[in-house]
Amino acid sequence: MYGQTSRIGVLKRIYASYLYWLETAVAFAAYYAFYIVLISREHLIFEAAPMYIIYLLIASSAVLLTIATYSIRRQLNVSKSAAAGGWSVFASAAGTALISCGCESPIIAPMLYLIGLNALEVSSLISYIVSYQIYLLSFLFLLNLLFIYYSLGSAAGMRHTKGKVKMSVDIK
Amino acid sequence: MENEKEGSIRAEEKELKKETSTLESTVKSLKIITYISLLIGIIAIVVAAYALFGIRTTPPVVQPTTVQPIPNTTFAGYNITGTLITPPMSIPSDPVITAQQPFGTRLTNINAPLNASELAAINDAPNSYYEKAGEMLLNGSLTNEVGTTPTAVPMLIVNGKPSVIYLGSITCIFCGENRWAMAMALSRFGNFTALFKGYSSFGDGDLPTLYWSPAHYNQSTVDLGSFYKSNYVNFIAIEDTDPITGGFNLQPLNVIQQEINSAGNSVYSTAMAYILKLNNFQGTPYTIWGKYNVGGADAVVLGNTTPTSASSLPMTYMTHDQIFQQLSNPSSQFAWSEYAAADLYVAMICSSINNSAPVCSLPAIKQIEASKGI
Repeated sequence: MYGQTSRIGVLKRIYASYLYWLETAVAFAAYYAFYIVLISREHLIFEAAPMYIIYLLIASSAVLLTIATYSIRRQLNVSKSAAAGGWSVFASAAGTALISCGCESPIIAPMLYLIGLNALEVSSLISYIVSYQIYLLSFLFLLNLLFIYYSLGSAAGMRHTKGKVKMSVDIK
Repeated sequence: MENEKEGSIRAEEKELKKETSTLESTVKSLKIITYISLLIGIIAIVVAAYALFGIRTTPPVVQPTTVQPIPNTTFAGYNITGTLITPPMSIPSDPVITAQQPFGTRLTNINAPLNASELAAINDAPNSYYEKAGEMLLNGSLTNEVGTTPTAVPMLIVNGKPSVIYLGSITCIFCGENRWAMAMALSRFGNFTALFKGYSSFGDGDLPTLYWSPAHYNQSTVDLGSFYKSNYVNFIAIEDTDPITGGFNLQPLNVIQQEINSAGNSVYSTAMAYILKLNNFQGTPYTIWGKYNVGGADAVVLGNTTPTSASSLPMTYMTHDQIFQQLSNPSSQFAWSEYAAADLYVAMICSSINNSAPVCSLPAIKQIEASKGI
């Protein structure tokens, strides 16, 4: 109960500032723009996965980046926060790459050739991704939620050690 | 006692300062990383905006390309003889559906052969349509995105003729859209004695399209062959099938290869081995036009303009009859774009057969060849 309240408290503290709302909006726009550019360039009009999963993934990535920035500014678990920020960028980019596996020229295909796979291997991998696209995207979204939960816990200064709650100091 | 305490405090202060300094330096570097990430995000927005507006405003003019011819005209062992596959005219397990169904989830007339007038719209369209569409393509007056950069590849020669090879999927929206232009292009070098009505999958547009042969639209397999005859080229059609009521799906190439090999036709087995040897398959449609390879469709013709979202594709709400009417009497951007997309394929075949077919003498085709460097 204590942990949940603290996490929500941190979230409230973050979004009490319009600057963090702005950051979330900018991050969402950037991630969405990345997705739009790629699908426009590659004519990926239809995706095997529904659009809401893309919006969820991008929105959660934007929130995660905001929490990471807040933590870094407050110097709370800086290295872990930076990792969370990095993950947020990776998750949205990976989501876009996965969604691109439609019928025409998936974005990831040239990359797969670049790392030495042949046509048989590339087609197998793309077929696999197409078949399990929604599950893979959902998995990325769940990892984002997990990172958000962990980052909020970290920012709240909680670390559970052997059943005890250890508080860290917010030095700013 | 006091000195000891002072000493201890000083040592602690010193250690604290050291830790603070290390922490500050780490934080500083991480802050830089964060700000760089934000900067990249802003740049991404700018690039995205530029690209989006660029995509919408750039006229689809054919750009000169630098297609490099490959010295050897064929791979060793890819000049063969053999018979092509003639598919069945119907598949009992995947019958013609006559019920009228709503757009988006319709299979009305799927697997029905085209009637004589519909077939004539493909086989007998006047060359003047191709000429006018080619001119529109060249002068940038098409609103749809038409254009591709082909890759030069060695030819697969079968029975002394270059080959057009198609590897696609009945579930794929771009294959569905592309088959119209393909059929129109191939009709300039021969004719189809049969074509069939089809659709892309429900999850991929449910577009009205043509099938080369009746499709196994209820199951995962591979349909081979067509009813095309030509003195200039061979047409080798490989169609992956999956349940049409689902979304896009594509079996891995090794599965497709196994199914082709089990069909026992040496031309198709060789064609598949040839595709694997090229080692550049990325997605469907995948086509070879004599000595040129096109990865993906050569146009995005889903209505009168290139669509920007999947929510409302005009072609989803078109019937086969409407498309045949537009192709028979072209007046819309949709129809001219289909002819222009066909022109690109015609130019590739012409280049591969030393411009020996009558259609190759059309000025627009010659200009497309010149502008594409093929």
